[in-house]
Amino acid sequence: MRFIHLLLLAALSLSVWAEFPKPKPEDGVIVPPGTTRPPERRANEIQARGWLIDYRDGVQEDQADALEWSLGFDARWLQGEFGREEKVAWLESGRELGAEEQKLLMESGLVEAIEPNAIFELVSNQLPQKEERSPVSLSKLPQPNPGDYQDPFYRHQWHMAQIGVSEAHRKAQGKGVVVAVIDTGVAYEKHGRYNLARDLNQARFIKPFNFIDNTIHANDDHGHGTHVAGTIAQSTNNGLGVIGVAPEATIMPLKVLDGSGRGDIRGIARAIAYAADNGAHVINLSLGGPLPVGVLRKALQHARSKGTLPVCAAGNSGGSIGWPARYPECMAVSALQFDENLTFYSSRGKEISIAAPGGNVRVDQNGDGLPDGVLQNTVYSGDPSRDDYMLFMGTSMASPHVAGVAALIYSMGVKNPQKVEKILLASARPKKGPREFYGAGILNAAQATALVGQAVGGSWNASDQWICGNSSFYLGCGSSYIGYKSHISRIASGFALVAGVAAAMYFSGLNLLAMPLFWLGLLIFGAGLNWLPGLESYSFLQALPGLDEHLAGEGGTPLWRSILPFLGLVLMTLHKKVLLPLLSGGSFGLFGWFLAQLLVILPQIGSKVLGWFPLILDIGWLGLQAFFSLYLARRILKILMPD
Amino acid sequence: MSDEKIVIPADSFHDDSIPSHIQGKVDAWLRERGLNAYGDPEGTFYAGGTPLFSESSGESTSRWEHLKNRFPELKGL
Repeated sequence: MRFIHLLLLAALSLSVWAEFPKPKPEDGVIVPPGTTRPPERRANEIQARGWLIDYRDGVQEDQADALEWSLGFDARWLQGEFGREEKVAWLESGRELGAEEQKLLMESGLVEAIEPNAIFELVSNQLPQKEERSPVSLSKLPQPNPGDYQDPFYRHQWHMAQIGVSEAHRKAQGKGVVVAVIDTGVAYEKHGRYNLARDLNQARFIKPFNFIDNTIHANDDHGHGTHVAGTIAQSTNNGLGVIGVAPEATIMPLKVLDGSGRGDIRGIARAIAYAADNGAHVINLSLGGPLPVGVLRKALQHARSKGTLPVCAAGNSGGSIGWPARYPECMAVSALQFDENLTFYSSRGKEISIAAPGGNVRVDQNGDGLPDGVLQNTVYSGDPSRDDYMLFMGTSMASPHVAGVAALIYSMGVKNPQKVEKILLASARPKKGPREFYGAGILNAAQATALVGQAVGGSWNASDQWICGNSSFYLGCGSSYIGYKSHISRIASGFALVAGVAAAMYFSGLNLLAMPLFWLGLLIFGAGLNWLPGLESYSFLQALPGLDEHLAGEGGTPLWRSILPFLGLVLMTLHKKVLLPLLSGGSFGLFGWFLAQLLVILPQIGSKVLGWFPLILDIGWLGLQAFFSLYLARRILKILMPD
Repeated sequence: MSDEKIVIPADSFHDDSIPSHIQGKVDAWLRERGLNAYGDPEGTFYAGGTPLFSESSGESTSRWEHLKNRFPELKGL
């Protein structure tokens, strides 16, 4: 009997000590339907003009040369341009590679892939598409509160209010995070005819590079890149102009587009590799083209492998998504206007990850007297020595909002790009409408930083929240997670108390209820624990040692938990007249709490938001814990009231 | 602060398409010259993903208008 008691106590201890593991996102994550991207669809090739020959790792330049010479051509060796390990040769326009030559190249064993650098028919270029729009009350939509910042034009930055930037800034501002802006350059320095844009006066810059003329001066002669950089890290609370999403982030200006806004694949792929190899946490790509290119994808894969998160503008065709946004390695961002509907110009498709404000300068829905573009400080195209505050619209403007929030998440200690992406998606505000328009929903900086805060508090699991964020339960779902500040949490606490009292009355009549210490124990274990960060769940998934992401260096354990062993020792020293009613209330409270958790998780059966296996484990574990607590409560009751 | 101002973009929009009877000829003409669908060298990427839409001015144009402006000789096809 004593052995059984010990076993029961050990089981209870295990559940109470549950600062335990959670599965890594890739372990057992059930991704909701529609969130995985299909294999990229190639456009209809018209004719190959130039070719990219992707050699296998380990192939040396002289081997490649010998092979090419044997076939009568000489492609340019581009090793290192697309990442240190990538070995690619470029056969420029004017020399075709016939089917037989391609076959010989592939059969040589030296070549991994051959890709045409070709003209492609646009998959789709439908300018504005008719769409059903959700009716919204414009007066209820978020508006900037001018008192939040010292920057006078913030009142026109409805796009910052749309994603909850001011609330997010109380938790993070992007300190220590590097965001590469691969674009037309940035007005970040005084150099020749170029100036530092006035509202980037407190911004930080690192390792600029110009991939057009191969210099370290990545100045902006167009205005696009500076506008994008401003959305990410505009100097904030400096008494000037406007704010940025992650004002303490560091910008890595990488120029790949010229003064007309055009650039080539080589420069872009090189810039992506450069950013990843030089410590960028996030890459913003507000650019695109109508054709898929393998080296670009390889560069993106290289970036991911280095812990970098690429974020891409979906495109402004009003039709299907271009490249590189269509690649799964890049988060594709569609553009919203003030009323939170998709803009007429935004590209759309299954590959859309998330929607963010891109603006529409043809309307003034917020009634601030200005068109509803995205407002940032940038230089004039054609005269980069001058800058002003300009209203742009495009998915190029939406993408840096996401890059900025990603920077906030990185700055809070999350280091894995997959996890950052999942937090961005899980925290997105649900939006009614086609998934092809809005992906996971509307970017939500406030919620994203709140979720990371809970993770760092020691109890939050990105994969679970990813599941929850896409279900009707929101925070109160999946693996019996009940956010300690959620509405469901309050309901569950109330239920736990009622269930605990009911069980106590069933076994003891009104006797226990007459003891104040019983109520104290009941309140602490039946409801109080629910409000302590880090102990809002007794999930089986949390209780499996070895899976905890805290052990992987993220999250962390709340300090208060270290008090628990001492608290246990103190309890043991209490006189049994104090201890027994306290423990009795506690065990009835735990019983009620486990029942409450079961009630939260049971409705998920069949909802397809949580896999069957973890669901059954969770239900079984919660049931077992409820049984143990009730058993314990009865044993204590028998000691306390032998009659 | 006194010299700060907000630049408001122009507001215009065009939506044409290449007449179907010359679509093939236009594409062939571009192919012969090694140009992409927008009349730029192959492999060209664009700020915002397309040269048909200006994010700074808010203006957009059709591919046909864009091509005719760049290559007036296309009008004679």
